[in-house]
Amino acid sequence: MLAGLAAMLLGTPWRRARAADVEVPIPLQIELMARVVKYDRNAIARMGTACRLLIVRRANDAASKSAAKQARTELARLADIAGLPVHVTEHDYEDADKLVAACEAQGIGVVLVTPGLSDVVAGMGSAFTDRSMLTVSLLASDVLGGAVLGFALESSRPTIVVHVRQARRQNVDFSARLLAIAKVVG
Amino acid sequence: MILRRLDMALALGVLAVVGPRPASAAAVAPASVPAPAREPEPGTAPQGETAIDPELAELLDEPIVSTASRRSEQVSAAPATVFTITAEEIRLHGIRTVTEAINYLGNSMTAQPPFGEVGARGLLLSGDGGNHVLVLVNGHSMNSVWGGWQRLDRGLGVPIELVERIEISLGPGSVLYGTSAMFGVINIITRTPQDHEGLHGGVRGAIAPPVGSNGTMRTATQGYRVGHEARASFGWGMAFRRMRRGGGVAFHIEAFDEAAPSTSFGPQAITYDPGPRVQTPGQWGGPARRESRGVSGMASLHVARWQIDVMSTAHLQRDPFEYDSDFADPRNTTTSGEHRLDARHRIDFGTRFRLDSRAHVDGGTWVGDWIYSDAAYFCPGLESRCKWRERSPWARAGMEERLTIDWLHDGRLVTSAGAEGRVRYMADRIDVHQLDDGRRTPYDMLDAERVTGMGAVYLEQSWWPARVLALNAGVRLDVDQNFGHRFSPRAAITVLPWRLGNIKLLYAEAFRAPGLGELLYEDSNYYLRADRLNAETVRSLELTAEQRFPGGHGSFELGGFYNWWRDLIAQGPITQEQFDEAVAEGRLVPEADIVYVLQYQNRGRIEAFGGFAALQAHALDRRIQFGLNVGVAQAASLDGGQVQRPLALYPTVLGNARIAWVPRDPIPSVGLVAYYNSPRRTSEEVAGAFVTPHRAGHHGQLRATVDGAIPRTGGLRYSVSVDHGFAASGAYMVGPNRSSADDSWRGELYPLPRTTVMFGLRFDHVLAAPTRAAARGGP
Repeated sequence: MLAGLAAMLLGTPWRRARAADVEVPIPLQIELMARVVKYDRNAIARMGTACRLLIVRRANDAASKSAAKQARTELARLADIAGLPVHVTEHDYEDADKLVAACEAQGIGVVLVTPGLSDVVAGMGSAFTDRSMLTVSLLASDVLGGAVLGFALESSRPTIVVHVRQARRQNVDFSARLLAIAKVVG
Repeated sequence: MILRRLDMALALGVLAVVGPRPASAAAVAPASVPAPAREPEPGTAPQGETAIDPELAELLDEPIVSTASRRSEQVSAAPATVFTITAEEIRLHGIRTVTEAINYLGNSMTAQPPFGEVGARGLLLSGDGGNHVLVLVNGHSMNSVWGGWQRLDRGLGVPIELVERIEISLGPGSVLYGTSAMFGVINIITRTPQDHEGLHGGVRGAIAPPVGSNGTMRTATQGYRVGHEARASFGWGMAFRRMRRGGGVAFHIEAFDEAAPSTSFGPQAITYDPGPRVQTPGQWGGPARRESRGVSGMASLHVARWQIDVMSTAHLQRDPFEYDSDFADPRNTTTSGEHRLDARHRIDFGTRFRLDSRAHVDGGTWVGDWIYSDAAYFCPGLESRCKWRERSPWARAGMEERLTIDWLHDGRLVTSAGAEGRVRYMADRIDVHQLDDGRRTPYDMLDAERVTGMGAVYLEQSWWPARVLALNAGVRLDVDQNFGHRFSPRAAITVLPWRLGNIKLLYAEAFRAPGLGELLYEDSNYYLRADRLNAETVRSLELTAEQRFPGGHGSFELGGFYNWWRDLIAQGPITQEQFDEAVAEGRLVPEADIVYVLQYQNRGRIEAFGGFAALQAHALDRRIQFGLNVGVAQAASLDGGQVQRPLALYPTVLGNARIAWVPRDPIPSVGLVAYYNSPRRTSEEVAGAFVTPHRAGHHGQLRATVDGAIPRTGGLRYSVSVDHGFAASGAYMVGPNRSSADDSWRGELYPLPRTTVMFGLRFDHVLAAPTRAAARGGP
């Protein structure tokens, strides 16, 4: 207990503070994401023959790495996304330009943003503007920051959150029927 | 099938709801990006659109809960029976307090009017102050140090606007929470600062006509006064989006003044002077009412890994007929002030380990004042009108560490281990003095003070060996200076035998540590301090089955349980040997009468069994919502070899039903909700105090609510509710005469208010990018 108190008071300083809690369990978010992607009318054109998904994590952030590991474990269980085989890679975030370069090099169609990157989500949004890319955040509050898609907890149920303005910028075109049941922000 | 047809109609646009469409998103798509179709309003689907994948709708329909295992999980995976009451339901049905939420929207739990005492699953232990249910606010215990008491009315101190959802985990829950989690755990989860962003405020009022002795409404004359409620609240929240880790800060405060309508009591013949405010001199009774007022507030700061809540409340209540004090004297009051600080922190180690820490400091004071005109009868050693004052300051500080290990990174094999420690202080002092000259009673009155500690360790393991089978087992050891130690195990098996269905077999134990009040209370004339008390215990075996509806249209759940309660603490007589020893030690005065001397003892033994059903359904993208809860339960007291069944106050059958229509603004939503309690026995009947006792009859309560936006006001909304009770009285007896040796007196039941009209205005001005949920007035 004393160790815990010490960790609380003296542990990781504010500047290295970790991410806020994920409201919706990550395995459920992955399952939801896999089902929501097909409502993007441009998904097939963007992804081609395979759904190449990049998990973005913060290298020095245990919470970010833990979330990435959970997401990867769950993604490995998926047979397909939107009918396409799934290929998953991970990327330690350094800056938005390197992220975009990594995506272009690997033909990434979906970027999954782990917690701990809230301060750079807006930068990612700018970097992906005018590029065809679906950015999904495991932290729903990051959607207001600049991710396209996330999952929040509302009235105790998971809710799809879509940033419509950012979706347009990133050539993501969700069907009207999906938007009708989503919480639309932006 | 009906729901399917409604959805088909929706897909064809037949049932598209009318109303103005807000402007589409302001942004213009970049030239290089094709413009998408205009996004529709929620609940409207353009023709030709692909219907939503039923499996996606099913995933979105299943509630996420966190109370059963202290981590977020789908309700079908929770190792307990958990029901949720959402902020949307609270708003749609004009719910003002957690007490109302339990009665109108809960399952197998009741808060009996007018006092709001909570019972569940066949049992309501009157006078327990709610200490058999653990009440949490964001995981922080609200039960008092003195006796584990808690309040679920406005005295709780959490503005209802801040409530995001209420999770009720039914059944023993000590495995993770320790003492008091016997009926279950009520976890009130408040909105995060990010969800409370912007300015929020409101005013609310209510009026209720006076009630006569036969339950009929009467005019406000001859001392009968109209009941009223006046409440104002204000809040503000801001999100920290530019910070690396996000977060926010928010607060909400409320002030209220409310009074029940005057109701008619008595007359009851008495042998003492009930004071000058009785209607008939020398007889107890006349018009009177309960009143309360208070101020409370809550502030939250979420920054990085920290979540800090501060809660504070000051509350005054006038109960003019308590403890045989002077009838309707407004100086008969209880006042309380409570302040709580709760800090939570999370840190991850590697990819598997997570350490959650919690530190809390609580403190407050409770004061009770009662006026007695008949000093010779009530105030030992005094001659003129006197006042009893009981004052109980208390404080509590504690810390908890919880390590969670997700071995496979997917939540399928998770170990949780934790340790908790608390230090508690409380004092209780009784002062009796004459009002005219301040002279104090010459007798020694209660003057107790104690600091005690407790510690606990727990271990829980959950495992999904297959996609259709989940196992959960845990145990907690509490070591408490108040009673010793206690193990609280829990085991749960969940099977998913078919699509969208689950069956759970649950076994759990819980305990309640004796309160410091029960351990310390003494009075040299009437109470012998308990030398030692064991913890109360309950064991529960439960079987439930739930079927979620295809397409995400709701669920139906059935369950049954059997509970074994042991060592219940109650006041009982002492033996001649105990009496003689206490007199010799000076703990009782020699002139005390053994017939009237009581002591807290472990004496109750109860078994309870029953079942429940719960139906939740919705259609048209939740624009039509329906719910039905039914609980059937009965408890039997096996105390002293005699079987008493059913026990007092708890209805054998209780239930509620609700339906709401939620169109788009500005068309108002309409909610209709009702609850029912079957006839109940009074405590006096169970104790055999009457030859032919009164029994509370069928009780039905109905509420209709209209809630809507006022166009072109930028977030101003109105709400009007009408509430009507169909019963003239509750299941509590009132007045000094609560026993009779013949049929000449059957006792008097506490009359209840009949009709209340409530109205309110509120505004939610979201400063950041608006969301459609906010525009709908939803949480």
